[in-house]
Amino acid sequence: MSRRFFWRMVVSLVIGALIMFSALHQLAQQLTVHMTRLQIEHQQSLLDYAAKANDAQRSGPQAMVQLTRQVATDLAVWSAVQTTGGQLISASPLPISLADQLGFQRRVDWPIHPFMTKVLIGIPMVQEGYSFVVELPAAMHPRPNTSVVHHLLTLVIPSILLLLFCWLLYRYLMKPLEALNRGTMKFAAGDLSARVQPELSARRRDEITQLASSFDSMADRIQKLVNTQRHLLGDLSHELRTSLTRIELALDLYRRGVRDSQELMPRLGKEVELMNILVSDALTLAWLNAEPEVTCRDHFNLSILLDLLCEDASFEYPEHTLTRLYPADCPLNNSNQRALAQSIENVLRNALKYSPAGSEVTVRCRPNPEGWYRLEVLDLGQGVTEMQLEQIFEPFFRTDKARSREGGGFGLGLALVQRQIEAIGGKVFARQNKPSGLCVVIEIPNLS
Amino acid sequence: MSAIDCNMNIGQKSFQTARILLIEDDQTVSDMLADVLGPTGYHIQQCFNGREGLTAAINSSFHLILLDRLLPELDGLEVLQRLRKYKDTPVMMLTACGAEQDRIAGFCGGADDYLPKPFNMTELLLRVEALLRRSMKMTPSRQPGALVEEDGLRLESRDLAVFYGRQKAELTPIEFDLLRVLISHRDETLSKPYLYQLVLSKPFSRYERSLDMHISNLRAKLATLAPEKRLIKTVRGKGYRYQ
Repeated sequence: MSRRFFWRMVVSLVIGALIMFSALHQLAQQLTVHMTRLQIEHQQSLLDYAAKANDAQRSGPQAMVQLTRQVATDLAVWSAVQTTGGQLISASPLPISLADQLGFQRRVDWPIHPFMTKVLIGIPMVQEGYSFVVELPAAMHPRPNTSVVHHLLTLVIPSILLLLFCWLLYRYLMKPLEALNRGTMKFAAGDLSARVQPELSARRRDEITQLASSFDSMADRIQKLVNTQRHLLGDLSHELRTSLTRIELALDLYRRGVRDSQELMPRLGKEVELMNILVSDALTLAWLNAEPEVTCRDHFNLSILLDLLCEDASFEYPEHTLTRLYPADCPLNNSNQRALAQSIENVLRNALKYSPAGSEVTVRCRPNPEGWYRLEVLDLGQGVTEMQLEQIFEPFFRTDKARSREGGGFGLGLALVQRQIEAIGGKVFARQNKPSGLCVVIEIPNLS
Repeated sequence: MSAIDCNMNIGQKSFQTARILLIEDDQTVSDMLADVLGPTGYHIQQCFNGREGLTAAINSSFHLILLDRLLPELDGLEVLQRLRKYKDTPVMMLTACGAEQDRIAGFCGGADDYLPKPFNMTELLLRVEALLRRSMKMTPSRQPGALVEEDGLRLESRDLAVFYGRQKAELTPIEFDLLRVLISHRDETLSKPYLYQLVLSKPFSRYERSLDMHISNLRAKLATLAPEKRLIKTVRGKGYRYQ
């Protein structure tokens, strides 16, 4: 795509200019030739005299003298028949003004330029070596209007052509720019779905369409970001309201004396804690959406971190069997301990929360040939459908809203995991576990 | 864990007389903080806007300043920046912005700790205590050649190593400090925020695991010396204890 428009412009400008100048040059030459020729009837009249000269030559010198005399009366010019030896047969001798022209005789169809004041026309005769020589009468001199032609060719026609070229160039430039302007205005007015590229010709590809495509990808990103934030805000306020409703209800029950504080306090405490987690997770998510980079400068042993997380998890879910399959030493360089700890903790808690008590949850980790770590957390719960494998990473996505909320989940856990793993340069995805359940795979970069 | 529990850690009486400046524009929050911190024995002075707070902080001497991030007249960060031109009083920022950037900005301004709102009182008391202990130098410093001997365990600061009988285990500086602090508060549960402040010199946050990883490494090294003993105990939800 680099400089396509530049080269297109160079080619059209250079070739256009070359064609224009050569065409004008050609035209000028042809016109000059055409305009400086003797008119056809004049040529004919001179040729007629030459034909008479042929007749006269057969009749003898007297007839030729007679003919030149007649030419002098008809056209008021000097004429002669030139013989092979260069001898001139004429009624009068060669005038001195024409003496130097005798060697420069011109054919009847040759151009006669305005600067030639005295011209001798030579017409070959039937008799080998003979020619009829006649001074060109002033009346027959071609009088071309060269200044008009000159101006036409050097000013008017090039101006018109260049104007046309500029207009085409302008149209070529302005059409996509106008589309871009319309798109920007529409976008600025709040239509986030406004795009420019569909309005442009699909065949055209240059710097300007590049700009349009950049605009479109910017618009895509902004639209996505705004929609995500709106969605997030909507979901967040919904969740907050749910919690607030519960608190309000609890307070109401207390005021009416239906329940006592002993019973309500723990519930209120739990609601507040849930709201706290919700707000801080949502903020972290919003922050990671806007600023998707974290510093990766921690060096540590991944196994120790996994040990810690597994110990905490077994403490919280003592009924599950937690199987650990990873080497005792997994050195990890240039990573972010906090982002990784939070992500793995979330995935692990998810696996434990959504699988039945007593079932097995497996944490498996091994380095791949490139030195990255591939961490898998497998559970034997209900899992999700094939279609939901990607959806579970969307904020506030829950397979069963009512049930998971009781467990303190808002559907932000995996969304946060995805953002954080991406922020440290890794990848996370889910696949079905066999025979049942979910397998979450985290690929952790290990850069030395 | 209630506010009473964590006060048991404090031990030294001199904490109780520490003077704390509270700069917080929300009257309710400020009063409640004063109500919790006051009875614990701290002397509390309240200010309700940035300018007033800065004047108080510069003119009188405090052991700790609790500073809100968003304040009328003078922003919290601005107060901190101006204060740092005159004094090094420890500052704990209270911030309602959960966003990471705000926390980082707080540090660049020279804050010693931050506490994201909403927080519970236990957390606040723990952190206040940790900061005061650090700034009032209540813990023994690592003197060259100093020995700490506890039931056969010997710390040698010159080699950064721990000895048990004739056996030796080399430690990293952080592991060494961690063990020293734990041993010097034998049988006392030290909270995570306190250990983060004291040993790692950084504030504790919910998902931070670096302390636990250091403890884990330290345990592994101690296990090579005395496999029969489990010297560092995890007190779930609270912190660590040496016994």
